[in-house]
Amino acid sequence: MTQQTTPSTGAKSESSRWQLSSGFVPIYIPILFLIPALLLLLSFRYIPAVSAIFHSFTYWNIPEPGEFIGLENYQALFDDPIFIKSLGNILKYMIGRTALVLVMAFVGAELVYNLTSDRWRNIWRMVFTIPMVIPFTVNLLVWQQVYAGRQGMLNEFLTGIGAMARPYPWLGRPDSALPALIFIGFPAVTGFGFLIILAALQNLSSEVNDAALIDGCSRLRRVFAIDLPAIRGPLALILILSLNQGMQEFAPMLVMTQGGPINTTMSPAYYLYIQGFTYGKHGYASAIGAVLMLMTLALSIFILRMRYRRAYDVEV
Amino acid sequence: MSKKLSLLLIFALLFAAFGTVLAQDSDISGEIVVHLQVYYRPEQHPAHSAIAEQVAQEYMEMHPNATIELLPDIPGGTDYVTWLSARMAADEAPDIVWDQWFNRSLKMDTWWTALDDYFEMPNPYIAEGIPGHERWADSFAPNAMNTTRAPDGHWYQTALDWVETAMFYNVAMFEEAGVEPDWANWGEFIADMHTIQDTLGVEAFGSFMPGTGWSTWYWADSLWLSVVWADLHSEIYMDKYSEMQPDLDWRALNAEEVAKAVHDGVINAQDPRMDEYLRISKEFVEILPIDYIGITSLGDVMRMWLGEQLAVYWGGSWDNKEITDSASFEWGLTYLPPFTEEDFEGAPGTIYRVGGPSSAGQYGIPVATAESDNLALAVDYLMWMSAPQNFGPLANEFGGFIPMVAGTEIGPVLANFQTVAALQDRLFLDPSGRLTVEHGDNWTQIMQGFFLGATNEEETKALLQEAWESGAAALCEQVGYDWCP
Amino acid sequence: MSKSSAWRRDWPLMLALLILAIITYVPFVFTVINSFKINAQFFQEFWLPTTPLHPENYARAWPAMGRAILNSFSYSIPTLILTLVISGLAGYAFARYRFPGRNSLFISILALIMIPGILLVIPMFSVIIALDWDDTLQGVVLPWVSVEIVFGTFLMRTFFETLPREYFEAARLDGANEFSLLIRIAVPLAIPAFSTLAILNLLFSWNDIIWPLVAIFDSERLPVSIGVLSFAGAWSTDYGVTFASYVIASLPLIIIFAFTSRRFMDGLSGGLSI
Repeated sequence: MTQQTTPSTGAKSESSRWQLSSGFVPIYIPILFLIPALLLLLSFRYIPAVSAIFHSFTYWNIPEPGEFIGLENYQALFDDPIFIKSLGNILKYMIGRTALVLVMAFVGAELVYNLTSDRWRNIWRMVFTIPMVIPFTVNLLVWQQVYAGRQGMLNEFLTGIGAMARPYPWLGRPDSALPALIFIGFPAVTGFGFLIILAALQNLSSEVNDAALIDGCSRLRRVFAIDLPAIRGPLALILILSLNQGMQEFAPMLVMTQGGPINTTMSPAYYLYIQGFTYGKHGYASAIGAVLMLMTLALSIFILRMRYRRAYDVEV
Repeated sequence: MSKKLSLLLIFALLFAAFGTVLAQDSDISGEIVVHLQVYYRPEQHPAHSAIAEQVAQEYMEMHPNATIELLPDIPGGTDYVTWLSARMAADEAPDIVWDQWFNRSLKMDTWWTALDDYFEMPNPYIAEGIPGHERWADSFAPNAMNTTRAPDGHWYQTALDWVETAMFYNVAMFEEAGVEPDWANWGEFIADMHTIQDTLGVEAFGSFMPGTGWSTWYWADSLWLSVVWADLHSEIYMDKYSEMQPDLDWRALNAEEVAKAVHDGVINAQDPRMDEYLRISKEFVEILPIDYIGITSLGDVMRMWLGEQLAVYWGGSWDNKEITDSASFEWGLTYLPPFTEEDFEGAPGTIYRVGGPSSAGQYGIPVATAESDNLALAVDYLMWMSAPQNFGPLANEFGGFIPMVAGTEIGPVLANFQTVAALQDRLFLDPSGRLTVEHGDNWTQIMQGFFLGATNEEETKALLQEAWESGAAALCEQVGYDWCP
Repeated sequence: MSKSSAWRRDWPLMLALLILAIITYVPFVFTVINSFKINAQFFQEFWLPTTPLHPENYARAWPAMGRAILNSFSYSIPTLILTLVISGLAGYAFARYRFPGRNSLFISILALIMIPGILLVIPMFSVIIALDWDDTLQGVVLPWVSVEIVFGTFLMRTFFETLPREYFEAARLDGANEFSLLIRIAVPLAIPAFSTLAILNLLFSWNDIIWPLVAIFDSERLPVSIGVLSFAGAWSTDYGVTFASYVIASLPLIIIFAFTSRRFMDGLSGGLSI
């Protein structure tokens, strides 16, 4: 029912939008519709967030109330070599992970999209949807064994085919531990990104594609010349969601390396967890959280700016 | 609170005078929630959980106005600290609750009630003639009490049981490599481990060292430090702690003693002893699995050993059952060799036991309970539960830990660990229990840098000295000892 | 195009997909294989099946997991319904009405995605305790809903904006009021989008560990995400039973996915974008 949306109907000119201005309906209508959301967000997101930000300016030894110490936590934070190191780590992790997820989701979606058989398209889509139910914990357990030492799957494979003379401790060396975390869950086709891209591709009008094919455009060229520009919006969305998730990542670090070796896999969110819950420095942890939040926000704004700078095909 | 305390004292004296018959008439009342960690997991371990229930049931029959609610253990384990922190923040923690002693030492009186005064009282539930009847503290093992004393000198928990560690070895692997599980000194041991690595192509010694947090490398580290500083122990001991424990002339260091020794320069990373420490440390990690830094849980090490990919597994009394059930090969128990003059000049000629109260019998009472009406009940129930006739059967039925309450019969668990249990305690505790938990992580990260070649000996020693000093400074800031700068 | 020429065209793609699928399913197959082992077998062989099979692992896992599944539904269904209703209302308001402060309000809601979840555990728990909601259904559900309506509002707004305005204008001329426009026109059209949101919501509430662990006091009321850890402990882990628990925990989701996969995709086909 909505699949017919073509680029032309979605052009962003105010006159063609269907919203009614507030003049037509009483102002309380939208407010009424928003009240449940705002109430909940206020109670369980804004107030706790403000509380956390407030506590980032305190020495907070729970259950005692925080003791105001001004910017001390922030000063200590930017003098903290582990925190600084964790910022560099998460930047690498985020970029690597996002690139992997984006590329693999796109490859997977293109493979499915290019099938001629509708039936098979649906089957493959289903095949790559179901693994979404596997809890991340199980994935981590499996990948721990992939990267393990002498008997690890990766080592046995690489020494077996003669690519390596000796097994390598992937999670136990500063140069390989972070890349190893990035590749967890490879090929990373399954997931929300794959589904969004596939849906966006299926949204493209098939006439354009057929025309391109008739014009002698190779399939591969079509992917780059037509598909990729046309799904910029969904890609930007996945980019933001994935960068955002990467920025807050701590489960893989917690389970696979606990931040080692020598803090090369320490992430700010994991450091927040350790400082707050393991060391009991909740004020300091809140400061880490506040910085993390600001950085994610800045990054998302930057991506949105980039996205809309040369946008001529905006759908939303 | 002092009023309640004196009230309790009166009750306690009453019990002592007239025996438990009168207890039924006492008006101890209220409702408390009790978290026994692994000692109460009714679905997974019905047998010993039933004993825990029975102990609670008997208490409630004795005190009809008291209600004891046993809380099944939190599944999973790793998120325990999050679970407890949130409850502590909201004053919603159970009234008797488990925690690791070094985590408790981190929070001290912000979370926990000091039990010192109660330890001085008679425990009316301990029969006459058994230590603890007149003074509850006599019921506990001195070395466990010594370890669990917080850096501020108080006790915030009981130490009812003990974990002992030892090396489980694969008999066939040792035979194939021509190695005997018995070494005259460290040098011999290391040579044999290399023989295993070289001849069998398996990993030799199972220990691990993740980026942060507890690991069995902690045990090793505490031993190497203890070995090299052993000769200075009497200089490091502070009188006030020695006086409190007159029957122990060799004991583990309290955090304050470590901090003061660092402050006074008695222990110093530039000391030549630390060269031996670094050498031993490095020799040790060379016999570990190649990914010893990539392993994050002891269970994974045990799995390598049970999967016959590893010759020796350094585990403990709690593994006894799993290994008995699951090992498909012949195995034996052994322990690390002594350090003798052959290894380095001034070596103590012995090795120490790695054992400790890091088990399930560590119970404390949150501050919130102390401020409520339930303190008397919580203390009284703790006394009841820790009496040998109640705790002994519980611990022995579980079979993973050694009950340390005087008057308990020790079950078969300990039999395997006799040799180790006869050794002296460590001088230095695990890195996380030495000064602060954060210091433990700091120490780990520096040593990882050394093992991986990121820092050389000199740089490492400078960093270790810094870690000691900042750990001592952190304790000074938290506790404010009179000797602090 | 004939069937055989379609096949000729498709086989390299199919081969590539097959390889990707095999790697993707390794954790899945691994979980199932190991759910039939006892510890001794698991220690001996990590990847491959072993005999004899131990289906009794499922029997041991079932009492805890059956209860946990019921618990999970009791939390997840209210979470789902509230998330859909509240996100639908909010998304509709943002999509359809222009009111002062609309954009800044929308951005300030969207910005909540950036908050690291672990940061808010203690402050959120304090709110729950202050409301005296410890160990209540709403104490688990409403914080979950508050997390989920952030993305939900975004998704629903995006979807409602693709609906042609003519639909609404015609009905308005017929005298329908704002609320009935929403119920009679927008909601039926938005069913695919709602089902997308529903699936994502279910995945989230089914797998979240930290919040239910903190907010639920009665261990009989714990959900599957924690129930699967019942046989994993600090001192020993029963691996076979734990894997059987994981299998049992994922079955309801797989069944739901299988039946709703089509709708789920339709919900995305409006083009989720930014």
